[in-house]
Amino acid sequence: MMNIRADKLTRDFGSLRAVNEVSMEARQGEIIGLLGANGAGKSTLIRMLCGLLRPTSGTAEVAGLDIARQGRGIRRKIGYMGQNSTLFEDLTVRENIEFYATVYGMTRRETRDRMGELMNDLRVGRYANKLAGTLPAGWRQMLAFSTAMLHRPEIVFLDEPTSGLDAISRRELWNLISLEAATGTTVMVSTHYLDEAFYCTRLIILENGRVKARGKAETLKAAGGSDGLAHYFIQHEV
Amino acid sequence: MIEARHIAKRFRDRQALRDLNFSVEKGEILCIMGANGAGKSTLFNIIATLDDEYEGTLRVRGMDIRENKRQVRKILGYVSGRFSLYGDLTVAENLSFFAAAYGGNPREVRRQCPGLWHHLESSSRKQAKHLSGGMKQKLAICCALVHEPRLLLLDEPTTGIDPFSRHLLWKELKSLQKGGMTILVSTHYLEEAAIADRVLFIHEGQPLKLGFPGEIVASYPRKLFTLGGYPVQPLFYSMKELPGVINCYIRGEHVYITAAENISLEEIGVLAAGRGFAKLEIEQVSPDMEDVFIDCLSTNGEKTML
Repeated sequence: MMNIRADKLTRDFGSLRAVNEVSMEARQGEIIGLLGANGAGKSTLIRMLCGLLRPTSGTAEVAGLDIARQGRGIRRKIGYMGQNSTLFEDLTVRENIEFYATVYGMTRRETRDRMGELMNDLRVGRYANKLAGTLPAGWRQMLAFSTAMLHRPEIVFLDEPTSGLDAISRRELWNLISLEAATGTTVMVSTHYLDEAFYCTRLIILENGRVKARGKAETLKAAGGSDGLAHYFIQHEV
Repeated sequence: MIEARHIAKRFRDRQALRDLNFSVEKGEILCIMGANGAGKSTLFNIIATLDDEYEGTLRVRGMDIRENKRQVRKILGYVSGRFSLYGDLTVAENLSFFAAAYGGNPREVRRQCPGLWHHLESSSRKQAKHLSGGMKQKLAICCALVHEPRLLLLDEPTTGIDPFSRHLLWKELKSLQKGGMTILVSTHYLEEAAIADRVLFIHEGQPLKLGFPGEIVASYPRKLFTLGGYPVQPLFYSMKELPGVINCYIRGEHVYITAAENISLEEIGVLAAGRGFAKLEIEQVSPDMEDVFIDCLSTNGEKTML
């Protein structure tokens, strides 16, 4: 089943074309990795697919809904985690989860069940009553990911979720992401870590808003020669 | 260039650094790696002469840095992990400001790091706050270089920076090194550690490993296997519990396991078959810097979440 289908998505900001005729598809359970320099259009593409930003032209369907006309509906079926923590630092871990449960319109019973699962899966139990702002960076991102997955969305969009995290936290967050994907959640994730490309089912490399390359990480790495994946980021250097 | 002896630092509620000993040779790039909160930034602040409250002695070019702050600052350039530029000033004004404050010539930057300046030049009238993350970092490094230091301290200069800018930055570090610069740099990117001259792992303020990248990778005390041919989720949960398996994670279509050195590929196959994975595809693979780092930290008590 196709969860995301985009056809020539384009978005202008004034005279700047941030995303330029990007077409793509994602099947259920795939992890689509989005790579590219700062300003290549990764965040803009993600925000359009989340129904947060209207495309200048082109169309896309996310979870079977049209992004231009059914943005509200889409936001109920997706999870989103941004570059900046989406947690409330002055609320405890438990309060953060309860807050997001309310936002997603979950019943009290659903919230209680989900809370139990999360406390168990993430072993955040002992942090339940700590302020989110006092958690180590790795734990904070794990919690942010969990709140993005709270309402069991069909698709989750992760915009540089591992930025600034150490190697152990990155590997653990990726393990959580991989397990979610294995149970059928479609994941679209942007990153600057080239080694993280190998956690993904497929990659899309953006440059100046356009798709520069796409395919499996192994294939693209082989095509990049001795530079591997870095090839796609260094060849146009002046 | 740097000699650290028994460096220790205590904050009110925790020991940030404990008995840290290392030295950095002139013209060397030493890369410091550690988990978030391991003490990297604390160490940088001390070497940068911004924090006197520590035990032990730290010498830069033979000078005790507590007693020779002024001389040390002359030969030292520091880019801290936090945004240290003046957002309301333009690129050119930032450079002039730092040149005036530290004694130097903003034009020197063109000679010192032509590669970085080349990318900044077209934005020289832009306010620093409007630059992208990569450009800000390039400017911060240029500002740290205006007074022609001999020692450059960079605290996570590439965090959040895209691969293109990162590559450029490292190329520039290598060329500064050719000019005799000594560089101490921290990073979370293991592939950057692999191209430094030497690497220092610190954990909870203590040094765990110090050596050449090749040496460190070769010191990996485990075996690393990739397992495939089955859906990753059931495979992961099952392999996690295998006796002898130390660590287990999913990567793409494979489950990776680290196992004790004395376990053979065949033994893993037999154990897995006993759990219903008879046609498991097993391969032993070479570790990389990340595998060594994670193993090193987890065997030293770094708390894991899963």
